[in-house]
Amino acid sequence: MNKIDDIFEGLKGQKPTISNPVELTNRIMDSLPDISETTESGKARVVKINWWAAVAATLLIIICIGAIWIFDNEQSESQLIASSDAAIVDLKTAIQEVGSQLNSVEVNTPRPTQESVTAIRTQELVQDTLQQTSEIHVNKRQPIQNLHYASNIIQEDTIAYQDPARMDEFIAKLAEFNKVYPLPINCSSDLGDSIGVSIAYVFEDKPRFDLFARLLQAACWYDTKTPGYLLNFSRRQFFFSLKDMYKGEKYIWIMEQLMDGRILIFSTHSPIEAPASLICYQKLLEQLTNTDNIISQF
Amino acid sequence: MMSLLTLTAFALQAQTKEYAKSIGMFVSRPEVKSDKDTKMTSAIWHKSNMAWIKDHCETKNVAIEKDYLKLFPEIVNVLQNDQSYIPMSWRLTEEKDETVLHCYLRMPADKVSNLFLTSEETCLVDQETGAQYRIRRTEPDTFCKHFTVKARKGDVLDLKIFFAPLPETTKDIRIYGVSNWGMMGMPVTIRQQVFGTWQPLNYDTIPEFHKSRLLKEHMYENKPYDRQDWNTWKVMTDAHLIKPLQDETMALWRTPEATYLAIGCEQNWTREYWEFRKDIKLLDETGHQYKLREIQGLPIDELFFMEGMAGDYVAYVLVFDPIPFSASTITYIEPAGEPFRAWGANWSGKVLTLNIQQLRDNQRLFMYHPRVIVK
Repeated sequence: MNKIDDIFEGLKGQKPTISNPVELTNRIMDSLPDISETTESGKARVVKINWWAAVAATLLIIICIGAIWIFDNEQSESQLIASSDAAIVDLKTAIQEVGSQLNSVEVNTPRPTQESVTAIRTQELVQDTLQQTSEIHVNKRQPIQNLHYASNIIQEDTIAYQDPARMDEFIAKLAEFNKVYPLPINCSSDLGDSIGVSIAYVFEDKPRFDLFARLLQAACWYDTKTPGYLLNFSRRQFFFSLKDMYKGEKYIWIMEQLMDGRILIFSTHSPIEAPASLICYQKLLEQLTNTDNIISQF
Repeated sequence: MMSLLTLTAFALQAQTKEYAKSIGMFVSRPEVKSDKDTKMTSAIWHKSNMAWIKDHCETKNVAIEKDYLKLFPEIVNVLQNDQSYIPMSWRLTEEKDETVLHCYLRMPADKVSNLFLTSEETCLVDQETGAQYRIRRTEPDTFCKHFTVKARKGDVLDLKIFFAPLPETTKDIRIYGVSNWGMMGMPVTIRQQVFGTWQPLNYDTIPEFHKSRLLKEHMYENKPYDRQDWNTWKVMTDAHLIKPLQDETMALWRTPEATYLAIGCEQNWTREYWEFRKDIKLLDETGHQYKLREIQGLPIDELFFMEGMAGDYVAYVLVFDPIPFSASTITYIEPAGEPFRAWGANWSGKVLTLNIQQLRDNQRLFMYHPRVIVK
């Protein structure tokens, strides 16, 4: 604040001492050139206006920097608070204006690429979130530009997205290549799982198909940290499940060796929140193994 | 002193020797119905091919396995999921001079009917001697009967099947006649060396292999590595030589820090090209992946030539994350790779189920064996 006082004091010092204001006015009016004359005096007037504007802008910048400093120290966790607080909104607007002025100054500063900006900002957001979660209060002096782009932060996952539907595509291609066609599935249970989409294939258990190996290879393409990752297999059964958090779907694939030299591949996917059941799979299994028919004979 | 000895003897006798265990196959959870008045849930177990057995009983005093999650810690992932399926876990042990097959059932409801465990088909068969160990009894008694059981939904039942003790020489068996747990000739490798949880773990020492060296940065052309241009591939030499063996024989060493998998290969040419990709992994039956860390002394994810002599047998050593000591089998997964142009190029990948004990027995085949030349 000392600087502001100094400026005011400096301005006071330049103020002329006037004993007779009427005489001063007349003297000024007489000294003014005719408006039709050269523009030299007009240029001088513009210079005068710019000087006052510069002083006003300096004052505004100093006030805004002070406000940012106070805001950062006292409200370090409030940057993401809802914008209902009018004072904060005004402050942010002011900061953005100042930020844009500062940006215009930094024309020659090397800028990182868009990718690195996104990465840095995402990292900062993660760090902020972690700090908020663990309630560690750190005096964060973030660059002003961060506030400027806060609404543009793109959330990135820690692991790359791997579309579970590719597993279905792989099975469909495998079936198509081996001229195996999907079985019609007409089934429902009283669990309300009818919104699920299921598909089944029956392959002959031939070494050249090597289905267990092919599906294991496909399943191993997925990172074990993929949501819902669950892989369980034995000589008789392959069981794999995943969740797609982007599409809100959960997937299950089951491959089971039937006792008659055939292999059943069943896949189903449904909304994550929907009740899940494998009743349809069980019914299909019973139909294929003729368990239904045999039981009725006893 | 005598009483102390007696106590020790009793304690040793009461020890459980674990032969094998598995989370087991997954079956669809049967439909669960709830009684509006009693709020009790009930389910009818799936139809099985044992419908010709008409006897039925209601079991009482079924043991509940409270340490189920300790026995199968990986099951936590299953239980976190949507519960549309039930793992049919099992464990084969030796207890009080008997072989016991524990069949676990996580109750999908408070009452489950139409369950079936064993019949006269139930037996263990030693794969070397052919000896059949027929069922002695079950606990609770459900032999040759369908049965109904009541317990709290979510409890894990421990249904026990008893057999005669297995000799210490038994290595591989097959289990028959427990169809609801998927055992109709299921192969099982017996872990004779594991006694309960108190025995010190029998890890291997880190194997020492002769490390290859770089002979040439590029085969011919001093250009950056190009998968499609063999002229740019590295040339290695001085591989770890071994005695002749069947191509792609493997051996395995387990240490707490890493798993070492050696692959024996026949060298058919003076310069033969190889590639070990970083997405090669080991996989256990619960889907846990053990990632490849390095190929000792060799480039990874890059085609290279090994220069030696036609007729050499060489060993390449892959270092993976450590596999758990309890694993008896492990699956080697080599995903299909990107196509490349070379003589006899093959990018199809492979999947091999490996018996760990057998692979440990193979360690002796991988001793360094310098080339012997007779002119």
